[in-house]
Amino acid sequence: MIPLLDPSFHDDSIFIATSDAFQEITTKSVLSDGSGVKTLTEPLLVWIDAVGNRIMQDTMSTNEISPVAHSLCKLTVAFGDLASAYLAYNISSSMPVPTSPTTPPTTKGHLTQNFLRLLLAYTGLRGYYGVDEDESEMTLGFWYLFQEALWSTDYFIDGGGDNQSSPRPESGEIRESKQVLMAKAVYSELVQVLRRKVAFPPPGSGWSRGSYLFCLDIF
Amino acid sequence: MEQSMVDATRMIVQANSAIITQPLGTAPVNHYLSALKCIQAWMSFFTGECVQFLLLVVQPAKDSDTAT
Repeated sequence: MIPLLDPSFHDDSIFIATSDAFQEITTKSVLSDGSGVKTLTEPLLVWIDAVGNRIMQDTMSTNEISPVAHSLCKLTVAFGDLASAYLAYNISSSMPVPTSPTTPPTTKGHLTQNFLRLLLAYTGLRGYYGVDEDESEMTLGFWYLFQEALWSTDYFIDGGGDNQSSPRPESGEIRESKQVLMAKAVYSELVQVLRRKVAFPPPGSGWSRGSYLFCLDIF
Repeated sequence: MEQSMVDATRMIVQANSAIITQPLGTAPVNHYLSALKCIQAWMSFFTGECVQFLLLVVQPAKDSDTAT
């Protein structure tokens, strides 16, 4: 189904419908517990790395949130809920993940960091929530969830299956310290982004008292 | 009732995957949209096998790719 997520196709409705179907899979199907690592989690991460980031770059350069970019945000958030344990466990992993027969394999850590970067870009969209964009608030829940996942990664069971025979490249302690380092970097960036987002607009920007309160409510 | 829905899942998966595996642009947009909506509606009846099948079906290579 992933090839249908093609932002270059002239009719956006297929992308949005496919994204909706994926959201349904990540939230309501039997794989919604994160069990489909090889069939769902990793292929989607590879797709986000290649295509999702491209959509975000277009959004940044045009400063306009297209229906496709909005749909991608919903998909990333739904996916984040599904895979928070996987993402927390593999945040600095150097385990290889095959991408496609023609491209070189990448690592779980690279894919995870790229996913987090995409979500962070949505959290920090330019403009004010409720006035210029409606997406940043959708991502906030993930950051709480991800924080909890980071605290409890010891309990994550790698569903990779075929990895069990190969020896782990790193001992648990090294992995943990790298993971903490990476998580700290991500969250300090998140704090910077949020500090920028919670700033009030300069006086005289024409906001009514209601919009200020609305903005306060969100953050 | 529930059982007959479950029994029908294989057929639903087959029918819909036949549609969504057509390369984009070769079939009317409405076909894809209906198939994707149908898949969503059936999601709660699908077994893990069905979902994985839908995720893994790949589009057949286009004629231009195979012709040498």
